[in-house]
Amino acid sequence: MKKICLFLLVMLALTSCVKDVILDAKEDPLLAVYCVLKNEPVQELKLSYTKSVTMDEAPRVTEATAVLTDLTEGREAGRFVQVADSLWRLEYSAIPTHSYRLEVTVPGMDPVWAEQMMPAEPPVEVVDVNTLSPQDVPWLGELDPESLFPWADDIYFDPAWPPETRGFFYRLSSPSTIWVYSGLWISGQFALGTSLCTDYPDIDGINQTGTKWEGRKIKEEDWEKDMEGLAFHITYFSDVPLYRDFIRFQKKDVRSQSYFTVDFLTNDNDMGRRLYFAALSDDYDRYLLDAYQQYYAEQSDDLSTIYLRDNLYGNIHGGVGIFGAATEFEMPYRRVEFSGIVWRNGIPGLLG
Amino acid sequence: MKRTTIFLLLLASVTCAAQQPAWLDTLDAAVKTDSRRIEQRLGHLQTGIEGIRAIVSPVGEGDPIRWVQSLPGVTTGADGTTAMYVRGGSSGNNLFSLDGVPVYGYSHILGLTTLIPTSVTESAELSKGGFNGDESNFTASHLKVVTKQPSQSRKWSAGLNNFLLSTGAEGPVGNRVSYMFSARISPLALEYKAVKDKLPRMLGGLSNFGAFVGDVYGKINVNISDISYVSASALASQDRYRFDMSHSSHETMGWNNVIGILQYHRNGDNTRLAVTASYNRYGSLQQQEKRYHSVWNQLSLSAGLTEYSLQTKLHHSWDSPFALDEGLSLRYAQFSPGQVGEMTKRTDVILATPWVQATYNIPEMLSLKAVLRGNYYHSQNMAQTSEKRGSGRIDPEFSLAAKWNINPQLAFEATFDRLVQYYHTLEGMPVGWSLDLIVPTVGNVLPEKSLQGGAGLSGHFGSHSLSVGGFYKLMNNLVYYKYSQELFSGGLAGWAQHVELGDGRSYGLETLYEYQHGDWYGRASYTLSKTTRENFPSFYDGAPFHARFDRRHMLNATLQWKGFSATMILQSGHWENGEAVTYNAYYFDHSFTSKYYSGVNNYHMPTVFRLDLGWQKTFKLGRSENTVNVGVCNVTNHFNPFMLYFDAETESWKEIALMPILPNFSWRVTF
Repeated sequence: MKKICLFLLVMLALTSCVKDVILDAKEDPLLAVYCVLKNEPVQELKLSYTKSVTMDEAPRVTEATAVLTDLTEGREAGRFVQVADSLWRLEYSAIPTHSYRLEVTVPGMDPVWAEQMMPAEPPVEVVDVNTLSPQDVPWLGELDPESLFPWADDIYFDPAWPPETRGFFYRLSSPSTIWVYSGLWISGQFALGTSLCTDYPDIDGINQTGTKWEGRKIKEEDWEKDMEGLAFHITYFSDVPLYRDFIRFQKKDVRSQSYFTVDFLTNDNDMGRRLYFAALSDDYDRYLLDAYQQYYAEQSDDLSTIYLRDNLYGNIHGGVGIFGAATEFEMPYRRVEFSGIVWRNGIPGLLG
Repeated sequence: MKRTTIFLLLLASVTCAAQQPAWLDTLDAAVKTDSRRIEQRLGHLQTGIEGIRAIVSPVGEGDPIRWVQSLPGVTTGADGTTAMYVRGGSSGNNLFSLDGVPVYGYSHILGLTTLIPTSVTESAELSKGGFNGDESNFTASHLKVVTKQPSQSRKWSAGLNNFLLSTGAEGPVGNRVSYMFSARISPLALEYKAVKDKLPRMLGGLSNFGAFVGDVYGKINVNISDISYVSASALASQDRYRFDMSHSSHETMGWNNVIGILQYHRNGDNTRLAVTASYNRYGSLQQQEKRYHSVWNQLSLSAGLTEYSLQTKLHHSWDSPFALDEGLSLRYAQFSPGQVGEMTKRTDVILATPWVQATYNIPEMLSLKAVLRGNYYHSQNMAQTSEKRGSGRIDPEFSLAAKWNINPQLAFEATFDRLVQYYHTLEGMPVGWSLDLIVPTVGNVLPEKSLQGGAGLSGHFGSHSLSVGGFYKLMNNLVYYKYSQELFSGGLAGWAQHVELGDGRSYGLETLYEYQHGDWYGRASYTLSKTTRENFPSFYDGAPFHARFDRRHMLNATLQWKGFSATMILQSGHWENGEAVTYNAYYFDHSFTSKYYSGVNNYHMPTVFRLDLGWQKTFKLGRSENTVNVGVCNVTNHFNPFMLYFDAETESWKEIALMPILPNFSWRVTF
């Protein structure tokens, strides 16, 4: 019996044998390209190589020729110049609606390339709702309001409104996929705003934070005292979802007749606040959605991410990465602040 | 020292001998030329119970799957398991049937064997082409296991092997009734308790192991008259395991089957009738609790399939070369894949398959067979109570087979099939078991189809026989579950949205050589094949890539002398998903490391090599007949990975071998 027991013990003991394995497919490194054309004076290009699981670090790209060609005009827009490790720059402002081709050549590899079209300017109209009384600006009646408020396409004001009634409203004048994001410029550094909200319906919900803007409900009898120094938008935005990092207006959801507002969470010091509306090329739109999911999945504790095998979207032929395009504009932003009286009565022609 | 000595003695012992698979020609033209070699017909192979038991196996005696895995055209899955891939198909494209009724979860004891006890098995037959009319709803192969009729004399038997304790009985009850019974249970949990303190290092990270594994089979036969009888049989099995791979990883897995079969047979002079009604229930469960980044993740997967079927088969023959068979198969199935503990979506399915088969046979000259099947398939999502949506479709199938005896030594044979399969097995799980989730054709998940042809020559030359054939196979609507991680989440209810369809292609050369002279018997099968998948939108832009078990070379060889046998397996490694390369990516101004997968199945696992030795002895002891098998699987201790898994504690991939070197033993006594 003892022999039989020992026999069984040995047999079972032998049934587990574990080894570490590194599943390196031994594929050659690929060139990773990141370049997003913008309507800004300088374009940036970032180049690197892919790193296999058995490499300590990725090989550095020390030499590369990167040419940007304006396909619409049929001429070379310029050649990128290396300015730092892995970073190349080109002094050139991409022109909306023009098509471009980026071709990058590094020694020992076939050229990688991609083509992209700069989107048209975001079809956004801005209206400034404000209040200025003739007593405050005696010369108001003599000036054209558009010259007085050049950042807005239209102005609504009523001297009868309480002085704190003000804010910017936006309207998408044609169907388009628009990204709205915000941030703070502090000491020359830009920090992406982390939470935004809007009263626009049917926003792409992939980046909802799961929480809502918990606006304070103001009792009607408190309106008078709350009007002083209190941003009334917290009631206006009450119970709307918060979005992480950006708000994405999908082309199919755009209702061009509606005005909407946007707000975002920052410190009260709003001197450095910025709000951007950007039209993204289809490739960059898809890339950025993927990048959002991967960026946060990387920080996740969800074990199932181990089994994810989805690639970050890319459009680089012969390599990985993205050659995207975005036409973006900084929008006038001011936190919407209405008195309860105005809000209750509505703004003729705007909110009705 | 004593332990080492005993261990070495065990290693020195050797295994089973035995009979080899016999080639069977189901056409009347086939002629058996001697006890070991039979006339061969491409696509069909059959063996009896002794041929099955003779295969060297970790559990001490063979089973139908082990036998199939030694044949040409068959690729094994993970080493040591019962997974099989025939002519480029997926594992779920094979049909395993018991007395004509499908067995959906046929693996047993962590895939080391099958749940059909050899004590009740009469024969096994593998079909790879030229299928019969009553074989349907698969696109690769049919492994048909037939149980024996209960003995007319009373017998009692008991058995013991590495992993199972068994008992059985059979005998008559009166003149017309006979019965057969078998029960098996595994002592795995007891073995673990005995070994865990004595050999902790050898157990690796395995701890807290628990198992409940067993099966019960019963059959009653009632002879109504000299030409007709009724039989009722039932099979129930359970596999359930729990273990910890580390203190931060708890695993639970299992599956079960309940099958009930009622059959009526009437055998007239020129007409034979068979009617079969069955109930079939299959369920599976996997759960994981893993701590990852200090957070416990609870992942689960369950699946259920309940099927009721009715099959009729009528055979007519006349005093001429012509014979006709016709029949009808009706199935009603309920699929319920879903997350544990939650209400799951249920899909009901109806599959009706009428068929007709005509054969023309001129003995020792020419045999022809033509089969036509029609399938009507209807599925309905039962979860949407307010709006129950259903859809139906009709798909034809056909099979053709021909054999021409060029001369008494040489024959040419060919088969051609178009097949349709409505039940899908979702693969992609990291554990490598493909039977975990069976789902129906529904919505955009179309039925799998295959079109295949095969042809070859077979000949007998004295003590030698050789068959050489080739096949070419096209597969459509193969399913790939894109997000294997979804199997462990609430997203499972929406599995159909994540299934991706693609195509496959496989072609190859199959050879089988046999030699018999005196007490010597040798057999070698070699398959050279290439199997690819393509047109999956998510991978390589639809370009071809390796099927997971695309083994280019497969060589199986057996040499037997009296009671001794040696079996060698040499196979190209299979393909796993390689780890990603990484690169710098950007999300707005944030830099992060992104992974890039060039595709799937891009890491070639090492070559599989295994040498098994065995010895078999049958002897009488008083009134009892005893059969003893002893042997060693993987004598060279070659590391053949069974599966890969992600170790959440070390955050690295590991490969585990099920049987680096495994002595086996079985003893069966019959009174």
